[in-house]
Amino acid sequence: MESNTVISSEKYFGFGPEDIKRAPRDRDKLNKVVRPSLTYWQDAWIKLRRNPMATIGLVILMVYILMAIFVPMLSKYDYATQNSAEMNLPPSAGHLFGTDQAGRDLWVRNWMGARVSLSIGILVVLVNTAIGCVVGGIAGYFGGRTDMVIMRIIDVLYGIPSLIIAILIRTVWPQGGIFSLIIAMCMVGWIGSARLVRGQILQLKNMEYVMASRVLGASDKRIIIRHMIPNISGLIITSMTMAIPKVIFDEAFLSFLCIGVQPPMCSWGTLAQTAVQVYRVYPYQLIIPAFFICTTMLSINMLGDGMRDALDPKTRGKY
Amino acid sequence: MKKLTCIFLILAMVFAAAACTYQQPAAAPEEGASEAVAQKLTITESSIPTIDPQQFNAASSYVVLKGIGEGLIRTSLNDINPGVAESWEIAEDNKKMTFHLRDGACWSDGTPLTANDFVYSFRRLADPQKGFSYSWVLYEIKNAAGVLDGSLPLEELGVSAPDDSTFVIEFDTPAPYYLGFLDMPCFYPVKQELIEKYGDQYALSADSMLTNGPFVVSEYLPDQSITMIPNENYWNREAVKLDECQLIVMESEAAFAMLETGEMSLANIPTAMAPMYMQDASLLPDYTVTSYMSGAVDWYCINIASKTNPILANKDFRLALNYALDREEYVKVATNGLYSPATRFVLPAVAGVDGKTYCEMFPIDTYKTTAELDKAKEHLNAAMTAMGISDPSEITIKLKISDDNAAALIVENCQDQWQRALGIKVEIEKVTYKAMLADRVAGDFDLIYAGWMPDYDDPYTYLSYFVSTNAQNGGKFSNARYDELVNTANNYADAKTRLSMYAEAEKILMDEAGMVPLQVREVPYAYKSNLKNVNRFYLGSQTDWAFGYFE
Amino acid sequence: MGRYVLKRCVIAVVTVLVLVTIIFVLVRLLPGDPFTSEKTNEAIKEKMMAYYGLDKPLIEQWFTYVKNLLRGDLGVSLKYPGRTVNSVIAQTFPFSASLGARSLILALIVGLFLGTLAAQHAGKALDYICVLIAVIGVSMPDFIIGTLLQLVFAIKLRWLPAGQWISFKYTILPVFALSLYTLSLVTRLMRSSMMEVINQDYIMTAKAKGLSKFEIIWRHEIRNAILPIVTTMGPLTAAVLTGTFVLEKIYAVPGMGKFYVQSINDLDYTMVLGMTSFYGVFLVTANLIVDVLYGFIDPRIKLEGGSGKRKKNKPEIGVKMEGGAADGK
Repeated sequence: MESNTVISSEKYFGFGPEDIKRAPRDRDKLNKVVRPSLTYWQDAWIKLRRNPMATIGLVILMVYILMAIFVPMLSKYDYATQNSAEMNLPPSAGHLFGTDQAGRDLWVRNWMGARVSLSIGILVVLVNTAIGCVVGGIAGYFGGRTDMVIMRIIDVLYGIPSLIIAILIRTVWPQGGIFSLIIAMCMVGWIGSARLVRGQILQLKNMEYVMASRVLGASDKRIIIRHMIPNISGLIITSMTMAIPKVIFDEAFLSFLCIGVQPPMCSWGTLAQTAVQVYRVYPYQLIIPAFFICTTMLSINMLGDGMRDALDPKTRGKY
Repeated sequence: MKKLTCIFLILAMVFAAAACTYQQPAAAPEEGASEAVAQKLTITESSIPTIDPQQFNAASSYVVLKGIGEGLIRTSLNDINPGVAESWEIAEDNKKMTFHLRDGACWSDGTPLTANDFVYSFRRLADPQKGFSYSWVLYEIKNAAGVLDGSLPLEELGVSAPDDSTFVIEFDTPAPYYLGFLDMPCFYPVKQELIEKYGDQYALSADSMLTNGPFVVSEYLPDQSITMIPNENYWNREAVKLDECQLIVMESEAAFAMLETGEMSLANIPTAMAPMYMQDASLLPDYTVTSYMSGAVDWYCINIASKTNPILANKDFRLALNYALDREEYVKVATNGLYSPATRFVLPAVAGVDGKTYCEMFPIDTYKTTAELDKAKEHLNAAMTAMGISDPSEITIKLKISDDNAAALIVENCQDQWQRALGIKVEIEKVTYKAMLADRVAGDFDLIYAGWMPDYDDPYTYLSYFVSTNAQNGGKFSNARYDELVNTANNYADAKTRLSMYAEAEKILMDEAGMVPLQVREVPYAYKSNLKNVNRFYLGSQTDWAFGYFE
Repeated sequence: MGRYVLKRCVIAVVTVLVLVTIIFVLVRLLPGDPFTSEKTNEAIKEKMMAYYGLDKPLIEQWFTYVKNLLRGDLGVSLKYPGRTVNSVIAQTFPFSASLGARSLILALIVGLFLGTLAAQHAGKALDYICVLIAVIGVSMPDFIIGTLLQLVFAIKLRWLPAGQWISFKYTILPVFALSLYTLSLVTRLMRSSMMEVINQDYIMTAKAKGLSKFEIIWRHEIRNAILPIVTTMGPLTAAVLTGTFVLEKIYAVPGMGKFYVQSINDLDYTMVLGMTSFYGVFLVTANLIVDVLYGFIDPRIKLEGGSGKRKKNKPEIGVKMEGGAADGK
C-alpha cells in the first residue's frame, strides 16, 4: 500500500493535463452500436465456443452420438446374432473390438449399448433436473409450509427403494422396454436435484440483488427467471454432469437384477457387468465399455464445466 | 494456501490415526488356516437362512446341518450308511420301515437320544399350526395328508416308537425310494424340551440348540459365520479328524477371491472363469481344480395349456422346438462346454440296478444333442398347417427367465437358434425369481427356463413332476398313460420292473415333447490339494465335509 | 429452537409412518408370494401365510405392523425362520455403519481438500489434475472399482486381504472403493460452488480488508461454498451408513446392504419394511441434522434464525423469514 505517496500524473502516465484535448462531437459516431447487444443465452453460447475444453467435450459427445446412431445401422454384423464359431475373439480387423462370449461382434454391440446408455442417461437426467428444478424451486422460493410439505414428501419418496418401483413398473408394463426403465428411474431420481435447487434458492433469495429487485417491484416470475435461474445454473449443470454416470450405472445395476434392458439388447452398463465376470480371461471385453463410459463422462464433464462458466452471469461479457 | 494445505494434511492424519485405532472389537485370529497341519476347514455358502432342522428351507443350510446333525441313516455319495439307526428292515410291500437305533445313541450333551425324539421331530414337521416349507416330504407317510391339513390329530401320523430304540415309519403308498430320503435335514431329530423352551428362537444361537451329529456349533452368527468343533459324544468320534470347521457366508465371487488368496479351503469357481482355471493348473498352485455334477437339470417348461398362445398345445410345434436346438452350441457358448447337453429329464447319474445307471439301462433317443433341422422344419410345417398359419414369423413365443447370468446366455442362444432355424419370433422376458414361480403356478407364460434338483436317487423325484395331478406341474402336461405308469410303478417291488415303467413314462414325455430338456449342470470348484475325503455329490448336502481331513 | 426441533421430530415420525404405509402397500403389489418355491405346494404355502398372519385383511395387518413398529418391534423375517428384523439389523448394521462412516470421512477430507485446491488454482494444471481424479472416480462404477482393487491389491500383490471385515487391514479396500464416488462428488461440488463464492463481492471486500489468504478461504469461502455439499450429504450419509449392496458383496462384508436387494427378491415383506423404516428413520434424522446445520454454516441463514425468534414481535419479517429459515432455524 504505497499509494500514500502522491505521484504527479505527468510523471506516472507520461502526459499532463495540458495534453488532453476535447474530441470533436460527432453524433453519428456516438450513437453507433459497436457490438451487437447480446442476450444472456447468446453470450453464453459465445463463451462456450471459445472454451477449448468444452469444444473438445462437445465434439467427442457428438461423435459418440453419431456412431451410436449409424454404426448399428451400417455394420454387416447384427448386435444379437450369435456365432459359436467366433467366440471370445480378441480385437482384429474383422471384429474391431473382438467378439463376446456368444460370438457377437462387440463393435456393433458397443455402439448399440451406447444408444441405450446415452439415451437413458441424457433423458433421465434431463427429466429429473426439470422436475427437480420446478419442485425444488417452489419449495425454496415460497418456503414456509409449502417447503415443509414438499421436503417431507421428498423424504418419503427418497426412502422407497428404486428396486421396488422398477419391478412394479415392469410388472405393470412388461412391454415397455427401456421406457419403463426410464420411468422407474425418473420416479424418484429428481429428488437429488430438487434438494440441491432448494438449498441454492434458499441461499439466493436473500441476496442483496434479489432484495433490491423485489423492492423495485419485480414479479416473482421475473426474479426467478432473471436472477435465480442464471445464478443456480452453474451448480445444476455440474450436478447434471455428475448425475449422468450415476444414471448409467443405476441402469446397469437394475439390468443386473433383471429389471433393466432385456437381452439380447445391451447397454454399456450391462456390457461391463457381463465382462466383469470374465475380465481375468478376456480383459478387452471390460476395457472397451469402461473406456467409452469414462471418455463419455470426461467429455460430459468438460462440456459441463464449460457450460457452467458460460452460464455464470458474473462473467458476462468476459471472453 | 500452504497453511490450509497443512491443516488439511494434519486433519487427514488425525482421522487416519483414529481410524487405525478404532477396530472391530471381535477381532478374530489372523488367518492361521494356511499351515499344512492345521485341521481347520474354511468353507462358504451364499446364505444360511436357518440351522433348525425342521425349518430347513434352502439347500445351503444342508451343508451345516449335515455336519452338526444326523438322521436315522447317513448317506455318503451313493451309499446309505447307518446313522442313528444301526440297522433297519423294509417290509416286502415297501409300506413299512423299522429302524433299530444304536445302543448309547445320544445328544452332544451326553443325554440319551431315543426313538421318541424322532417321533417328536416328525410330528413337529407335520404340525398343521405352523407351515414348514419342507413338510411336503411327509406326504407318502401314512395319514400325513390328513395331519398336515389339520383334519387328523398329530398322533395319527404314521410314525411310532414301540420302544426307546425302535422307530417305525408306515406309508400310505409303497415308497421304496424313501430310505435315502431320510437323510434330509428336516428328518433330523430335535429335543422336545429345547423346542418348548425356545420356540421360534430355537437354533438362533450356539447355546439354544442341541444336536447329535459329528460336529457341534461353537459360535453362531446367523447368516454370517458358523464355527463348528467336533462333538465328543458322537458315536463315530474317531472318524472325525478336523479340529474345526468355519463356514463363512458370502457370495461366490468373494469366496473365490478369498480362495485365490489362500484363505478358503474349498470354493466354487464362477462358471465364466472356470475354463481358464481348469486348463491351467499353475494359476492356483495349492489347489486342485475340478468340477462335480450338481444334479440340477435345466429345461424349458412349456405351457401346454396356454390361453394366449394356442400353438404351444400343438405337439408338432413342441417337437419342432426340440429338434431345432443344437444343444451342444449353447453349452459351448454359455459354459465353454462345462455343462453337458441333456436330451431327457432324468439325470444320467441316477442309479439303476446291477451297478448300471438308470439311463444306461434305458436309453431314450428321441432327441440328439445336435439339431435335426429337417425334422424340425417338417414338424413346424405340420404345426403351421394345423393351426392355419402361413408364415413362421407370425409365431411369437416368450421365454421367461429369472435373474441368473449363466442362464441368460443360454436363453439368448436358444432364442437366436430358434429364430434362425425356424424363422419364428422369440422374445426374452427377465423377471424376478418369485415372479417366475408365481407365473408358473398361474400358467402365465409361454416357456419358462426352469431347473430341477433331485431329492433322492430315483427317477421318481424327476418324473413325479409331470403327473397331471401335481400342482407344481406348471405346464399342465397331461397324459393318461404317463400318469398310470408313474403312479403305479412304486407298487412293484422288483426294482427292474419299476425302473422300466419309469423309462416308458419318460419316453412318452419326450415323444410328446412335454418339455425341452436343456442340460445337466456341472459346478466347477477348487479345493486345497491336501484336503481329503470331502465329497461333492449331487445328492445330500452337495458338500459333505464332516469326515474330511488335511494330509 | 427446542420447540422447532420437537415439531420437526413429530413430523419426522409422521414421515416415517407414511413411508412405511406406502412400502407396505407397494411390497404386496410385487408379483409372487414369499413362500412359493420349486417344491412346496399351495396348501403348505397357505399354512405358512396363516402362521405369519398374512391371510388377514391388509388393513388389519397394517394396524398390527404399525402398532409393533411404534414399540420398536420390526417383526419376524419370513425367510429367516424365527429371526427378528431387529436382530438382523443389530447384527449387520455395525458393519455397514463402520464401513460407511470411514468412507464418508475419507471422502469429505479428501474431497473438500481437492475441491478447494482446484478452485483456488482454476484453469491451471493442478485444477485439471483434481478434476481428472474426480471424473475418473465418478466414471468408474463401484463393481468395476471394487473388483479391480481386489484383483490388484489382494489377489496379485497380496498386500491386503480379499474379503471379510475383521481388523483394520480388511477395511482398507472396501472403504477406499466406497469413498471414491462420494469423494469425486464432493470434489466437483466443492470446486463448482467455490468458484461461485470466489466471485462474490464479500470476498472482494475481505480481500480489500487485507485478510490473509488462509483466512479468506477458511472463514469466507469454505463456509459459504459448503452449503450445497451439506445438502447432498444428508441423504448420502443415510445411504452410505445403511449399507452398500455391491461392495459388501464383493468384499464379503457382513453388512445390511444385501438385505435391501435380497429381501425384495425374496419377498420377505417384514424384512423389506424393517429395512425401509430403519433407512427412513436414518434419512429423516440426517435431513433434520442437515437442516439444523444449515443455520450454523450459512452466516445469512443463521442471522435469520436469530430474527426468526422474534417472530411474534416482528410478524412481517417473520413471515418473510419463515421461507428462508423454515428448515434453518
